[in-house]
Amino acid sequence: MVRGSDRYRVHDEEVAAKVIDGEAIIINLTTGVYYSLDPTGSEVWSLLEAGHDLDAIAGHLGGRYDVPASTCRGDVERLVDQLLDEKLIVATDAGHQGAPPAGDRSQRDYSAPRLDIYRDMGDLLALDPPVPGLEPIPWDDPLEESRDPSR
Amino acid sequence: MGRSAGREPGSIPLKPASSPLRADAPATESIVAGFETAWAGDPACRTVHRYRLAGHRVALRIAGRELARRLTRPLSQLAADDDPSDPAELTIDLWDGLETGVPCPLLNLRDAFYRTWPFGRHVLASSRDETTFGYQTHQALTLLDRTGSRIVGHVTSPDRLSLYELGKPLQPLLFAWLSDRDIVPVHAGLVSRDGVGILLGGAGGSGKTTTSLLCARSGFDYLGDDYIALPAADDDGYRAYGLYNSTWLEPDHARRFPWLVERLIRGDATEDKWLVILGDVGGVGLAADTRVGALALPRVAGTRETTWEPASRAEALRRLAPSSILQLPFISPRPALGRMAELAQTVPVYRLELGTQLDRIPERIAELLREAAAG
Repeated sequence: MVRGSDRYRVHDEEVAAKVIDGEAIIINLTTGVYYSLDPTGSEVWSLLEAGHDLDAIAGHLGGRYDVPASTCRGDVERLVDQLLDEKLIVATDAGHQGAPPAGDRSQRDYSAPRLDIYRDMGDLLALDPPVPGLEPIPWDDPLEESRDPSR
Repeated sequence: MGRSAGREPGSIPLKPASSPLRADAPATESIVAGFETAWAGDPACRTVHRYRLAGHRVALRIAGRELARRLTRPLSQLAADDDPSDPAELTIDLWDGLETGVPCPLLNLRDAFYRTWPFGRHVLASSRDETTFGYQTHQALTLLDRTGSRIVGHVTSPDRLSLYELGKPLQPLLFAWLSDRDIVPVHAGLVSRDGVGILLGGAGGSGKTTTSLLCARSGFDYLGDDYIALPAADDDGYRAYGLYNSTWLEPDHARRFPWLVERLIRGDATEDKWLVILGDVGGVGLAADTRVGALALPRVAGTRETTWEPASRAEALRRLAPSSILQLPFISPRPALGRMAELAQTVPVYRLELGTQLDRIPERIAELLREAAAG
């Protein structure tokens, strides 16, 4: 259960992400699953990246969209739960102590942040594998854990 | 206990070869010595080929006539007439064990390298300090010395190379070398006309190959239909480079390209796609590089006519980046993602809905390029 004072950071060890034209594209390098966040979700992502806690993020959205902070807080918490489930962010003690700078009033209506999940890379790799299918290499199973010959 | 075979190293900086614990070092030296022995043999077996790989000078030395004949075909459009006295930025030394009679001194990468992991049915390896990468297939064992900028390797028998090795020789190691130089391999097709190219981005099955081949047959230059190389932009914008002039077709797919049928190279029963070396096909113009004028995101629409419309830059990144970053080893993910995002923000982006009237597709691509140029 996430709380308003919690802070998170991008799970940099396993994630590559970029915000472009108000949408975030996020790739989990370990699982091969990739994601997109709508503009509201991308705002939340950027504020999480900057180290703001959930209360500050919800307050920022409320000001930007003229929406009750309680509505925004619930939406932010749901999104953060999803991001945690997908291992895209992790909790951190470090972070930004102040509130995010007040943004301009948004020109678009508020919509709850949405995370779209794409799990099709497995299918795509099957359709267009980087290495065409071949007979197994005729020696020990390469999938077996490798050995450190220096030890 | 060794580290488990998991995801390959991601963002890997160049590091000095200073580790005193390099168990791979004697193995690397033995492979180099194997090449030197083969190279010192029959002079009639020796050939030197010079290329420009994404603009960089490459010298390929091969001991073995049959091996040279096979491996240079998919690189023909990259051939350069550089002065032999100009030092190569990458040296590739390969020998044919069958023709030279010099066997590979190392049986398996896993016997010598700190870390090995699977790549399809092949094997990749890394030294502990990540200065040396290895790549082993059924027929070949090759190493990349990242600090010395040298690839050296052995091929057991060139007539038994898989279609993948024939069409994309040394692909993982060449891509690692490019990645070290901030050149991003992008999963995309690329064709050009009058020096302006259209990048065709998207995962497998999106229509990159169909579009690229149809355009190549209609007066466009072909640079690739699978992977291309993308350095950082210069003052004139983005310039992209072709890598291999090879393409793969499923047997059913090949029926759409009757002009390629006689050039199809069929593999064994385990290879479900057939290879075509486009440099061997008459009437196909090949180019090594082009300015990028537009980025298109093809999709097989099933409609009769091909149409296009502007797409968002976020959609472009979503359809271009995951398959580029996730499919190949040795790619530095974050710089690659950043490069593709910069590209999507720099050139016009279009969604390309491919229709069933195939002969109309090149015309629509030409229109799209004109539209992009008009801005």
